[in-house]
Amino acid sequence: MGQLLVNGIVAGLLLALPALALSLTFSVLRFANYAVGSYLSCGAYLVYIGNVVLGMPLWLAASAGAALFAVIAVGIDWLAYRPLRDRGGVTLLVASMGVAIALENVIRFFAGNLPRAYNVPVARPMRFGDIRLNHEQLTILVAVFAALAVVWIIFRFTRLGRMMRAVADNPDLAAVRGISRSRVVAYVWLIAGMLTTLSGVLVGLDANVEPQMGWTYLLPVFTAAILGGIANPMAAVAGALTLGLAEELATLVMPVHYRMIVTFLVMVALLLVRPWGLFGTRWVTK
Amino acid sequence: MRDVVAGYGGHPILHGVSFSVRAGETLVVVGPNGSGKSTLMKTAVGLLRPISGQVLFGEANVTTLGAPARAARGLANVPQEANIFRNMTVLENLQVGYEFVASHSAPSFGKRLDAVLDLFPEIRAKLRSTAGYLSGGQRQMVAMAAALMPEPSVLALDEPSAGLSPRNAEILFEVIGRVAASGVTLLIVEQNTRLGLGAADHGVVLVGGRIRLAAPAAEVLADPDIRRLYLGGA
Amino acid sequence: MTVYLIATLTLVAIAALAGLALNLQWGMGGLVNFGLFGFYMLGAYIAGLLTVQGLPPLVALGVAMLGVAALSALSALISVRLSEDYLAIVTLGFAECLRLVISYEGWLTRGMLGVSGIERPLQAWWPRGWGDTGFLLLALLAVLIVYTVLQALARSPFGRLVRATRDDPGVVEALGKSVLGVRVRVFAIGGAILGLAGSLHAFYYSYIDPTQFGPIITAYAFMAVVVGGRGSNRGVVASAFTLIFLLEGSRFLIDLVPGLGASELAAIRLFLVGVGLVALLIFKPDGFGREPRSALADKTSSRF
Repeated sequence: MGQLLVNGIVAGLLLALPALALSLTFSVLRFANYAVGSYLSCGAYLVYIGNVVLGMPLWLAASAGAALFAVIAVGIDWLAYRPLRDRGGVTLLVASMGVAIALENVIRFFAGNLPRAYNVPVARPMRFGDIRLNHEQLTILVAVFAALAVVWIIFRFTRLGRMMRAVADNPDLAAVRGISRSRVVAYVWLIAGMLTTLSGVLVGLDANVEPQMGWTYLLPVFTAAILGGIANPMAAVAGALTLGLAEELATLVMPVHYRMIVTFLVMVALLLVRPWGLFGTRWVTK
Repeated sequence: MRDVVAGYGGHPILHGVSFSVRAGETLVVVGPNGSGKSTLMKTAVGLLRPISGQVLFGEANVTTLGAPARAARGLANVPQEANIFRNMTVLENLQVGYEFVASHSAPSFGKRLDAVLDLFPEIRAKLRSTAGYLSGGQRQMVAMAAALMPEPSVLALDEPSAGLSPRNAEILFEVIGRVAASGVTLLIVEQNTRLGLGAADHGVVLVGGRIRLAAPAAEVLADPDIRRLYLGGA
Repeated sequence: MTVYLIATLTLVAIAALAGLALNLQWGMGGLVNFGLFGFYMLGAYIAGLLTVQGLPPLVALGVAMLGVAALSALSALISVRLSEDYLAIVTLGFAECLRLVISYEGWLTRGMLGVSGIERPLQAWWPRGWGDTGFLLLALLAVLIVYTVLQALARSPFGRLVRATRDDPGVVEALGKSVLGVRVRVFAIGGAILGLAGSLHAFYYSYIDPTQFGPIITAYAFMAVVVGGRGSNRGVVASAFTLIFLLEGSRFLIDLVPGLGASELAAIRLFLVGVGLVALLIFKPDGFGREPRSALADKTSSRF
């Protein structure tokens, strides 16, 4: 049971960063970026290049990859989403499907379909009584908490954070108050790009680096974000942890390969009962 | 504002409106629903570009400038609805009001905060509360306080009493009087004719997108036509 | 070459049906169905499994259409009172889960082994050796029927209501019509057409397994609608034709460009599909077709 809880928390933490990225972009741009899964895969592959092809240590490759992909995310926005900004969330959603397909096939073209692994030293798992914690899980724990802390501090206490929250809260008033929306949008994509890359690395550590990795995370990430109330970035983290635990506990009664079904059932139940999210307050558009 | 024609999608709502507010004075625009009051306000603050005519700010022609650029020149704006960041604290609302508009030569945030809280002592105790949970009257004060943070020379208020109870509206106009006394030029669009004109130096009556009467507020209030039309014959 | 042409045209017919279904749901109704491939897959499996159980293929096809329509309505019910983003993700979740169930519940679906030996409808009608041609005619007939029905629907009062619901649900609600009811019906009708398309897929290949169905089917349908012009049924059929020929034709490129393997070529093709989708949305938002409207519809729509 203790082991299940630990695994559930780790699974939830893996979801937390992309869910945070998804709801961050949603809160400012009002569209659900379906390509968030592909962003995760792309980031993971960029870091793979640094780590395995160029021989950097993983932390360095991850930092470089995150910085690079953050810029790419801004570039994608500039090319694909910005021209469609005034055309509504649905058009952007469909466009993000196009972006997702394009990115995934860039990966397939250059890297093929075979799963790959990062070059990290193999270490024995640590034991705490009955509970086993391997090094990858420890890395995930530390990295996700660190990233969440940084984002939370930016959000809560900095000028940039106030800018982002102001635009998310009331874009018209933010413009009246002298905040440039396009700058906020660029910052949001930078942060989202870094978060998805980092999560791609962690997912790659936990399992493998493969073109499908983002796709398998897409549904859980959306569910986690909806659990939190999709326009509420920090609550998305709570949603991710809840979902991770639910998925792991469900393995007691369901085969492991049906994780996705657990996710789906959680989402459906939530949409029927509390569509504004488990932790969110009712969304009022005014 | 000079000969302004403005509207949406090529349909003019304002048909050549001209008026001016002298520095330090308060001008209230009144008029029935659909007379073009809010179009006038949007044109004044830069949310709507006029079809023809000019918007002048001091000596400068600001007709083509958007809202943020006008804000940077000292024109602060309190929109009618959704005029606060509901999910942020009152203090954060004031910070956002200050930090993206104030010029480098402006007084420090702390100084402005003290000055503004002196005008609105009611919100001093609420600085840490989430703005969305305040009462309607308090929210209006937060909105005005945030707009006043960068020490603007002109403050534009769009229907400040909308949605407030008569009692709260009266309290709010007392506060507006305090703001006017502090030397800020005020441009107010108001549906509540009596309250609005009572707080103003000058009044403009807008009907069907044209100015029907422009005169000192007391004269407008005393005008028999206006009394009959908008003050219910009182 | 004739064989190849017949095969490609059959694929065109199936793609056109999927495109028409999406055109009703998204083009006319504004409802984003990202799980389109799941409904298509469900149609294929219902038709395929029932046929191998000995049911006449046309009966199996009918059951498939009804079954997919029912499930479409259900998934719409879950989410249509929320914004379109939620519907997109719920349908996607539904499709993924369906694929998992079909992959793992071997006792029902034969799992990854797939269902083989699916008999085509009305095969006895055609002379020996003309089976593929006969099936193509059947598929084209299906497209014609669906097209006619959808055209009539688009011009009917219900069609106006659907467009009004897309453009301004608030107004429709204010007029006393149920937005939820409209959306559920639109989704169900679209689902029936997807069930039809999926059934034809199963009949045509006579073998189905879970790997044949993926999100790329959804992408093709969206591409067909975006190219054809949202709301234009004629445009969607024409663009399904063009798309399938381009995609099939690009397979020959493998001989022309040395050093490219099949998987690289597939990657390039899909990359272009993705980029093309975005580019079309940006540069040609109305596609190449036109939404059919009656004169009356034009008058009413100008109010919205």
